Amino acid sequence: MINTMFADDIVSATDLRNNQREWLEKAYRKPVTVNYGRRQLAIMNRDQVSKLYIALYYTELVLRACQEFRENKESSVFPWVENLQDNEKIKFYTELANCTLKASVAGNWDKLEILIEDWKATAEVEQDPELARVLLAKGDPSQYVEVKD
Amino acid sequence: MSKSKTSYKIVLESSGIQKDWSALEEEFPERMEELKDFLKNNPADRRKALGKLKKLKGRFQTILQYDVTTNDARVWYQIEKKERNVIIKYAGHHPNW
Repeated sequence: MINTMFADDIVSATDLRNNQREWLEKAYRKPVTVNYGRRQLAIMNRDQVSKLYIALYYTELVLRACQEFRENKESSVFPWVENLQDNEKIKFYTELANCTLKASVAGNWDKLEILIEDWKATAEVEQDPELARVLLAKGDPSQYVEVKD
Repeated sequence: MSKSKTSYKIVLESSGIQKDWSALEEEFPERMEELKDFLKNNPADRRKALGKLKKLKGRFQTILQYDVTTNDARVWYQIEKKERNVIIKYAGHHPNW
């Protein structure tokens, strides 16, 4: 399925050398496969390669985390997740999967990073019952103290 | 920065927080000025506090966390939009770190 990505333009090393500019221009727009003896190399846009590596990194990370959760193992990917309550764990993994799908489609992984950071901060609060109690307590407006400049 | 009519008022949820808030101001004066400016003007805007603002999830979903330092100095707060208040619920070094 994914192999078709490289199937359109194949060039020999000799042809590449003779028409270098033309092939490099093509490679900028989409990958070009270079036959080099029995081996094959690819030339492609560096930004595209970078995006593929980033997508691969996050996808592997999330798949590993989801697999550990499905197998009811402690998370080695996100060790802090163990501090979350059970219903929060389910919510975290659901949001993680949904966000990964959206990030993959959009090619932008920033929101996934933010999601993970938000949940990590939540888990750190869950780790501390006293802090959690203070944050959940409803304040009394009559006790508010204004911060002066 | 001049105080506009849409800016937020920063309030401590109780006088008990005053000591820890003041300690942070003494320890990190510039960072706390930056925080106060942020809270007054854009208390929920991540773009104005890159990497420092966390929006908690689950049962803490109304709580925001601002990392004063990358180590353990934190401020947790809530926003009362209608009243234009930012309520500081806890300030200081994370007790468990």
